[in-house]
Order: sequence, then structure tokens, then C-alpha cells
Amino acid sequence: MSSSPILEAVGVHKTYHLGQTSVPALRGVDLVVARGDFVVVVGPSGSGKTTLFNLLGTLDEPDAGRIVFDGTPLASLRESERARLRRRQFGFVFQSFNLVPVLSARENVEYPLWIDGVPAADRARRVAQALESVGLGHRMEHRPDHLSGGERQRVSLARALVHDPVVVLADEPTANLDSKTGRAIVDLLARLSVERGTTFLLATHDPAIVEHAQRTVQLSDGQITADVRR
Amino acid sequence: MKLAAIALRNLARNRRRTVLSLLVIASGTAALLLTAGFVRFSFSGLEDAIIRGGLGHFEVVLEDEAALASTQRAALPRLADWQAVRAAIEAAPQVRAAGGVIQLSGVVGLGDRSSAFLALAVEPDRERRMGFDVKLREGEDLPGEPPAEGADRVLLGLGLARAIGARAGDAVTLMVVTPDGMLNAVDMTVCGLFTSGLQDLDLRLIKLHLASAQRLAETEGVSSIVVGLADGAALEPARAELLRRLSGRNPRLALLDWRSRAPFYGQVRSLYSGIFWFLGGIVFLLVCLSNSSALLMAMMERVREIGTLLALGTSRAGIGALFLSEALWLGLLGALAGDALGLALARVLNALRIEMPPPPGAVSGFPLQLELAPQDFLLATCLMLAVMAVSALLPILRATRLRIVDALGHV
Amino acid sequence: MPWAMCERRPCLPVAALAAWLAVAAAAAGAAEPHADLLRRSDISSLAPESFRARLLVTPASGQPQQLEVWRAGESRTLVRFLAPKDRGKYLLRLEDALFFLSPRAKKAVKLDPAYRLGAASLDEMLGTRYSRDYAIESASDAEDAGGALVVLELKARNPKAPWLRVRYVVRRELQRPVRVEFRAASGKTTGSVAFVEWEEQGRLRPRRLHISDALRPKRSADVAIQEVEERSVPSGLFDLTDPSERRKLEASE
Repeated sequence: MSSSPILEAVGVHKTYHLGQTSVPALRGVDLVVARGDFVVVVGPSGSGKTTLFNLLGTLDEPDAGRIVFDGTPLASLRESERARLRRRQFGFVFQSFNLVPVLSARENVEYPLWIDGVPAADRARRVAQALESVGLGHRMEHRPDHLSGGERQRVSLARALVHDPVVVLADEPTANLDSKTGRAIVDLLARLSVERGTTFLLATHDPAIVEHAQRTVQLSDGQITADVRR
Repeated sequence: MKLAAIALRNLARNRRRTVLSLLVIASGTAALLLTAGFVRFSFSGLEDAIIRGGLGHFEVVLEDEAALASTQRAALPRLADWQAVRAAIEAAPQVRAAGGVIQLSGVVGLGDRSSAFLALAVEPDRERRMGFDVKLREGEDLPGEPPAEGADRVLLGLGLARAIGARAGDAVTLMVVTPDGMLNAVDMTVCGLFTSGLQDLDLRLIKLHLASAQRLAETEGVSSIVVGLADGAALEPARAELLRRLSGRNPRLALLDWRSRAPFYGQVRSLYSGIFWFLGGIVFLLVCLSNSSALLMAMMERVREIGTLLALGTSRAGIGALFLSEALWLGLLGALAGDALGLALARVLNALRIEMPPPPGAVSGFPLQLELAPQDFLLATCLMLAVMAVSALLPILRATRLRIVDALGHV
Repeated sequence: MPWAMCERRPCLPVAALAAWLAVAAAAAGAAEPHADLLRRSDISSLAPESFRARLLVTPASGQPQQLEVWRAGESRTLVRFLAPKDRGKYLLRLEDALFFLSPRAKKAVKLDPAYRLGAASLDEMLGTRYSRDYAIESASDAEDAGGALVVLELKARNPKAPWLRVRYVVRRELQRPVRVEFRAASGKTTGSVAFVEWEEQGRLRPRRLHISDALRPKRSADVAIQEVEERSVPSGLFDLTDPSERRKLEASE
């Protein structure tokens, strides 16, 4: 599925300073992501995948270049505007799930709607749908420490999707899962991508994910070395 | 989903630390309450001692003498039509009784020994109706009825009695300078010895019936009229009523309340209040420092979680609100526990009736009694909430300034 | 102690009274050695041995007070208060002791001899014999509207005297005291007696005095010596414990 670009990175540079050392994480990255794309970013550790995702997801700012979301340059947004963008337009799936331990599965999924001020009745309906869509309707009231790794990642995925984001950024979503569970998650991601038309960007080492990718972007030493669309 | 509920759940994450924080807050609250109880007891005890020691709730004087200290007024018992004024005052519904008072100074002698005195001449029956007490140490109190000529009686302060070697039953001679400048001396019988509660005052103070003083001072007037209320808490309504009854008189009269006549009370109150707030400040600091450290630790343990919440779109103010809620929950629960602890401790201490040493200048000690009022609990609780809000400042500052990517990468 | 006896000075007039004989005997006009001048003008030294006098003391503020003074020798003086409400009250001076007698008190109340009755103590008023008890330190001449004055600076021979120093001002020509100023050890004037008028007919004596307290200027008094009778005085009047003679006196009024 290709359409107008939803995310654009133009000449993006990012360097991290660790004490006296400077580490260039991205060195002139250009990337255009179309609405509805299922993009997999591959590359070894330290290639800059996480950095790229942080920049695309408005979690950080480039040192040079620009990033544009749906025609709006991110650099022009204030902190609060970026936060609102993340609440409404972005979903995040983390490698370590990053669920709030004191909230149940339902409450974790509900969280993005709650902070956006969505009415309670509406929240309840959408949360139930989101959890059903990831196959966790029966475990809604359990806290994360009572869920398996796969279940936690499903909750994380439901949380990332509950507010109908335009873009979901998943950084190594299967890294902490066994292969069977990981495949199940990947299948789920692919299905949801098709069903919802949501733009997915996944960073991964996992070959199972690469299989499903419409487009694979190779990142090495902070630069895109390949960008293959099937 | 509610922020307060999430905050409460976060407190349960590290129960040991939470319990410790609650203990600190509860202890601080209880300490504040006990101090407040002692201060309140001291104030009410002092107020009671002042009023029932003879000052009464109000004093009626000639308006042109209102600015004088009572010792200056002592030489001028010019309130002539005082019985009518007293009757008008006693007709007020808030008034329990009112009595004429003369203050005199002179010399009292027994044999070859003599001493200067300060005399308080009163109407004993009315004083008793007003609930004034006399701390007798020997003999008996003044009779209520005015003594006949030649049958005057006098109560001597303990120190003064010792100075001239007088006991109950002895005949002493009192000599004064009358208001028109003449000397006068009258023999009186010592009916008893008493203490004012203050050693220095006992060296000079005597009490006698108003009629005896008028005989001694060769006057029919009084220096003032002391008023005792049925309910001391209703000072202002009583003041309004008395002013209405005293208005339009010639010469004009002034109404002085007990506080204006006992500046000592205001000074003690200011001193105690200062001490209380100083102690409160110390408690505030200790609780604040202790809990600030605990809250900071709790925040540091959740850096990645904060990063996640920020990544999900939570505002920095929202992060701050979460930590503030946790701090306020600690403050509220700790304060409530402290209120209960303080109340229990106060009851135990009051039951023990621990004897406190005599204050400076006083002759005897008093049993420790703590008086707690509802507003004390409210104040202590509010203070603890304020303390916890301050304690949370540093953790909130740190949490809201976290870089999202650094927080997400925090181990 | 707001004892305002100055307003009805019972005893300064006594001393002043006693002077009139001495003044009457003084030679007029001639310059005298200072000691002789002091002796001749000394009001207390030349007083009658015993007498009765009536005084009216009018204070600067307050009611006039009528007094009767009985004196027998230098060491015994009785001051009787004549106002109806003060009947039965006396001041009794015996040697150096001073007592107050009241009808409502069985025993006399001893007062400090230096007890200030307003403008002056009884010591000042009753018993000071300047020519005997004081030595002349210096003398100088002065003048006022009335003529030449001799100013004698006196120092007490006895360190226990009520004032260490006295300024004694005498009209040279008439050899009468004009003014006596009492001084504290520091030299500061604490009070004074001014001889305002003299009785010229018959025996010369002061008729009016003005007493001032330098430390409390509002406490001044005029003393009018209305009557003086030289006579013997019953000794029973000075009996501390037996009031019968005094009662007779009251009854005779």
C-alpha cells in the first residue's frame, strides 16, 4: 500500500556525546515512509535503528536535517505539541514491553486514551476491542507480572493501537520472546497492518519479521545502505 | 481510572519504604499535636489564672483613667456612683457578677516590724460568685459581709506575712496615704495567709474587704468595677451589651477587657507561639528531608517507566501530578495515623498527670494536661500535606526534566 | 509615696516660728561676724522653749489644712490635725523618732524620721539648729530687690545630718533669714524654705513661709502662721501609750 508520505526524514544527523567521546549515530539519513507502509528496518546493533525510531517518533531531535510528519516539520512543534502528537498519532511497542506494573492489562491499554481525555464509556469500548484484536480479552484484569512475555507484548501492542494511531513504531518487538511467540506477534502485526491500514515501522534482527515486510530498509553505521520494496 | 488511585498503588510497590515514610510523618504529626496541646493548655491555664486570679473578664474605669496603669489608678478611687453602675452591669444577661475594687498601697506593721504592701480591696461574696479563687495557705478567707468598724480583717500574702512575722489571728496595723494626701492607720485582724502564685507578689500583696479599704482610705469611691462573665468565650457579645449599658453616663466610663490589662498574657502567647512555630519548623524540615530522599529514590527506580509514560504522550505536568499525588497520599495517610497517635498519647499523658515544675516566680507546679482542639488535627494534617508537597519538589523536578530517550534507556 | 504633707506642713512653721525671738533680738544694721549672724538669725535655736501654734497649710493643689503644733523643748513636738474628719490623728516627734497616731489604731505607727511630708521632711522642719549643727564653710555677699544679703554655705558637723550642706541666706540689715536651701551630698538643691512675710507687730516672727520641693516642683505649699502662744505644754501630750491628755485636748475644743 503506498500513498502520500506520512513520515519523511531528510538529511538527518544525530551524534551522541559520551563524556569526551562523540558517537555519530545517524549520518545523513533520508527516508520516506508512505501511509499504510509496513517497513522493517534491519541492521546490526549500533547501526542507529533505535536512534532513527526515536527521531521519527518525536522522542528526540536531530542535530541536523529535518523530520516531517504528515507535512508538518517536527522541529516547528513545541514539546507539548509533540506529546499530543504522540498521544494521538503514534503508537509505540517496546522491546521490553514497558508496561506500567501497577496497572492491569486493561488499564495499560486504556492509558493513552485516558491521558487524552477520552470519556470513560468510549475508553472502555475501545480498550475491549483492542484487547480482543490481540487475543487477550480474557486476561484483561491481570497485572503484567501475571502475564507471560507474549501476553505482555500483546498488551503493549494493544496499547499502541487503542487510539488508532497513524504510525506504530515497534523497536525489536520480538527480541524478548521465544521464536514461537515471536512469530505469533509478527503475524499479528502483519494482520493488523492490513486490517487497519496503520503504518508500521519495525526495527528488528528477527528474520521472521523481515519475511512479512513489504519494504526493508538496511541501516549500517548510521546510514541507509539499502531500501528494498517488494 | 483515577490519578489518585494510581498514586496509591505506586505507594504499595515498596511497602517497607512506604511504611517508614508513614512512620516519620505520623511521628511528626503526633509531635506537632502534643506541642499544640501543651501550648493550648498553657494558654487556657494562664487565661484562667489571670481571670480567676482577680482580673475578671472586664474592668470598668473612668474614661480619663483608662490609659493609666492600674498601679497609677490605685491612688485615685474616683468612681463615685459605682453601686448604680454595678447594678446596671449585673443586669446584663451575660454577666455572672460584678464587684467594686480599690487598689491601695501603704505600710503594714506588727510590733516593731513593718513592710510596704499593695492591697487589693474587693467584695468577696461577689468574687466568689465570679468564680475567683484564693489560694489560702493558712486561716480562712475574707468574710462576704462588710465588716463593722473595729472588726476589719485582712489576708496577707505569704511572703509579706513571713517578713513581719504575722500569723492568722494576729492584729496588724495598716497605714496609707488617703486620696486627699492625709495619713490614716487602722488596726485589722489577719484572717488568713494566701499566695498569688508568684513569689515576688506574695512579698507585697494583701487582700481586704472593700468596706475596710474605704474606711482606711477615707473614701466612698472605688478604683474600678471588675466584671465576671458566665461564659468567657462570649467576650464580644458581652462587650457590646456592657458598652450599651455604660454609654451616656457622666463621667464617661471605659470598658477594658482582661487582655488589655494583662499584656503579660500577650507576651507569653507570642513567645509560646514563636516556640511552637520554631518546633514546627524543625519537624517540617526533618520530615521533609527524610521523605524527599525516599521520594527521590522511588522516582529513580521508575525512570524507565517515566520515559515510557512520556513517550506515550503524558505531559510533563502529568508526570509531576503523579508524583505529587503520591506524596500527598503519604502525607494524608501519615497525618491521619499521626492524629490517632497524638490523640492516644495525649490521653495517656493526661491520665498520668505528670507534675510540671513551677514556672519562674511561681510557688507551685501544675499537672501536665494537654488540650487538643479539632482545629489542631486539621492544622497538623494540612502542615503534613504541605511538608510532603515540598518534599516532592525535587523528585518532581528531576522527573519532569528527564530526556525521554535517556529515560527509556535507563536500566 | 504620694504623701502630701507638704500641703499642710505642720512642722517647718514650727522651726520658723522658733526663729522669731532670735530675729527680734538681732542688732540691726551693723556688720557682724558670720557666726554671730548665723546664731542670731537661727530660727530654731532662738525659738521659745515651749509653745502652741496654729498654722494654715495651703498646698499648690489640694485643700488647705489647719494644724496645731505643740512643742516642748527641742525633742518633743506634737502636730494635731484640726479638720473634723482627721480628729484624733497626730504626728508625734520624740527625740529622733517620728510616730503617727490614729484613732483607729491602738498603737502608734513609727515613721521614718526622714519621711518626706511632701516638700520637706519633719527633720528639716522640726529640729534643725543651724548654728549648733552646722559650720560655716564660706560666706559671700549678694543683693536682691530687698537689699544686701549674706549667703552662708553651711556644712553639717554630723555626717548623719539630713543634709550635708545648706545654703542659708540672711538679710544683712535685718538679720533675718530670707531663704534656706537644702542640698544633697552632690550639691543639688532638693528643697527650700522662703520666709515671705514677717509679723512686725509685737514679737517679730515669720507670718508666711513658702516651702518648695526642688525635685517635684508641683509640691509646694504656703504656710501661714496664724497664732503663736508661748506656754507650758502638758507632758502627757507626748505620751505614746496613754492618749488621755490628748483626748482632753480634743474634748476641750
